[in-house]
Amino acid sequence: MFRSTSPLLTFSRSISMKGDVHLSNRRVMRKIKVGKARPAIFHQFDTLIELSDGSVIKRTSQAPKDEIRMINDQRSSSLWNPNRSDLVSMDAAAADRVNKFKQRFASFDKFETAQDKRIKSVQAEEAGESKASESDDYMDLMGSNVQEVQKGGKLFNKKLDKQKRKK
Amino acid sequence: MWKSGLRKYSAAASSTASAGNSTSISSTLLLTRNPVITADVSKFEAQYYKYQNELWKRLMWTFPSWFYYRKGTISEQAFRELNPGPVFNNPNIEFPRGRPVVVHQRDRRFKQELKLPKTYKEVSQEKKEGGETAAEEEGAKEDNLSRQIVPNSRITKADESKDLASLERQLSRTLYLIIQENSKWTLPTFKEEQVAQGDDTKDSSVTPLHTLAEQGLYKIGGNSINYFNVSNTPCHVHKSESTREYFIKSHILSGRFVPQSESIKFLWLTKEELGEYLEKDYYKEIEHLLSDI
Amino acid sequence: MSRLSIRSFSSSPIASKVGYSTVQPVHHLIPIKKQTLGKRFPELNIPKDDIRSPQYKPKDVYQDRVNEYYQNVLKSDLLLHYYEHDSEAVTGNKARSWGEFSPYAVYRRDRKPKGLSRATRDIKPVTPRNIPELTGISINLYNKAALEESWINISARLQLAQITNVKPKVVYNKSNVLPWKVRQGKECGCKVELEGRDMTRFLSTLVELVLPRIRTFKGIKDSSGDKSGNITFGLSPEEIKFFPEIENFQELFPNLFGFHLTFKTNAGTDERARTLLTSLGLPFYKEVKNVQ
Repeated sequence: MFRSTSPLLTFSRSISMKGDVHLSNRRVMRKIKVGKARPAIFHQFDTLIELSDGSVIKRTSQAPKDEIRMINDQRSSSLWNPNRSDLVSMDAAAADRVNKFKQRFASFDKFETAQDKRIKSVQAEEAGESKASESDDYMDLMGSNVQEVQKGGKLFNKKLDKQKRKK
Repeated sequence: MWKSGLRKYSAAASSTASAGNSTSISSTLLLTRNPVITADVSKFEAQYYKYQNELWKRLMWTFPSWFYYRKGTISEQAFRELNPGPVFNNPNIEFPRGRPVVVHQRDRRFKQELKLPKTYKEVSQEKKEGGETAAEEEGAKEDNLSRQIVPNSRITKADESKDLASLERQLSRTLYLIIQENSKWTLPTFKEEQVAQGDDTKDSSVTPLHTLAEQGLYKIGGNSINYFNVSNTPCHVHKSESTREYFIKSHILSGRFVPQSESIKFLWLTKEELGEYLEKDYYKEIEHLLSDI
Repeated sequence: MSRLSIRSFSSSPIASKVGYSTVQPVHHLIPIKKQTLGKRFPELNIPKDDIRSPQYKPKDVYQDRVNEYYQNVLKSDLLLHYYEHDSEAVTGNKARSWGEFSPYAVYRRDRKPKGLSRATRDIKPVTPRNIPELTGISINLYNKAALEESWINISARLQLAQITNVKPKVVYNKSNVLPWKVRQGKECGCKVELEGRDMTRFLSTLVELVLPRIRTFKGIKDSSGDKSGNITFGLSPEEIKFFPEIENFQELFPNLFGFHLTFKTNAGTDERARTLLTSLGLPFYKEVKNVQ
């Protein structure tokens, strides 16, 4: 077993290399005489599969698993059962996305409400000094982790430049 | 193309053919429930399948257990305990039934039979060790995802109680709906309501045969039927002196037939049973339309 | 001349005759397996479906529920669905002749069909003899990664064999395209042709267990098809995870490869093939093009 680390590889997708894939390293190739070859029939197990509506189907499979219980399948899919109203098409991926969005930007929501209150109070107290308070608010909005926006051309990078020259 | 086949097989079109005569047009519904499970096989077929299956298993390659169960893992140990290797070809022992040919832990003279480690047994053992009460275990059994999978029975409660009106009887057969309105069992037949006779050519109010059948079905059987109409084309005509009955084929997909008036009785029957309930000549005429399975 | 009367099995035109023969030589057309001619390999002369042949593979190994459904329910339904009174075959757009009068057109290829580059088939009415039927599923896996590291194709073949229970054939590159690292004769994937029980097993797995679990799956595109009733769609590596063989042993398959599936039917038109496949449980969806 060895791990190939050839620099020429330019796989677009991450591909597991030899170390991660179980390849048999002692494959004995024997010559089969003419006319003696047998058809390829893989060893197959009878597998019972219970679908989500309780029906059981039998299928053959090479994987050593003789019982599989499905939670999502054709019987619980709204695409295959368009007339059933009890199937809520739960798009878990979409829900995840919404959750992620909320996690990331929920703080803005809180911030806004606090700010609204402040603005209201400011409006109630003194209408004349609204400009100054606004600018303060913008500073608040920028928060603590503000990064300077880079304007103009790229800065000279010593390291990168050296690398380029070597090549 | 078939879409042009959607042309109206309507009552009007056919009544013009019998111009002048007062033949009544009706559409008969051949409502079927398709088989839910595999067909029952005859003894010979079952034997043939068994023979072929055994041959197939004999010709199968050796199970690559080294691929699925990596050496030194617990699962490999469990697998090895369940499947001890065959007796090797010991030169000091005499084998009266032939010497074993062992390659890759398999005697190549026979088919390879393997037992797989079960998940449900392990779970139950763990629970026993945990010291749970029996009642808790029973409760867990119902929604335990690792309980044993047992195929459902091919014979349902409706079969046992001989409930001919149930949709859940004879799961391996095609069932047909018949109804009884006035002391005679028939396939549900719906007459076209009288249209003003005279010029058939211009009336657009004529209902197509399949719509007629649908309306009739909902009228006698309620709206809780989800059905699929195979084609607007009738599949058969039953002719008598004064009537023309066009057969419309459709399948019930879900829901059930609920008779809307008390005078209507209904049954879901297989082909053979239909022969007992329908008139002999009538059954003989439509026999070819019915499925043997 | 009497010498001309019998044409021998393989002979050059008789030298004395002027001109040339327009009859193609027979021996170029019939491939002869020389191994089957002698007595050395008697197994080769036994047909493969004979149980004495080493190549025998039992076929009816269990009750086939998909085929049962097709034979008992679908066939009669499809026949009725496609019944059309007094229907006749719709002739396809065929190649045209150049006309009989020009001597230049005698050996010339026929003119292209009107408005098309290729002739189209006749559409025959559906009769009990030609009810649309699924004849096979061919799976084609093009493995780009194998072009750089050829052992990766072993993983691809293993994956396909696991899913289909059929030993895949290796596919080799046919041409050289250097920017894509495509070289002639290099392994570039594998393919499987499924028939009979292998096909129905695969189909039922796909329809019942795999496709319903793909969240983004809307169906097969309505526009898919080769106009003669063969419908193709693809599965990506992420979607292949849902095959039960792979799902339950994920650590054994670190590399997954997408593939193309072609459902081969004898329907003749795409529309009929779609009807057949929908009735077998494969949904289709209409592609909505963006209208601005």
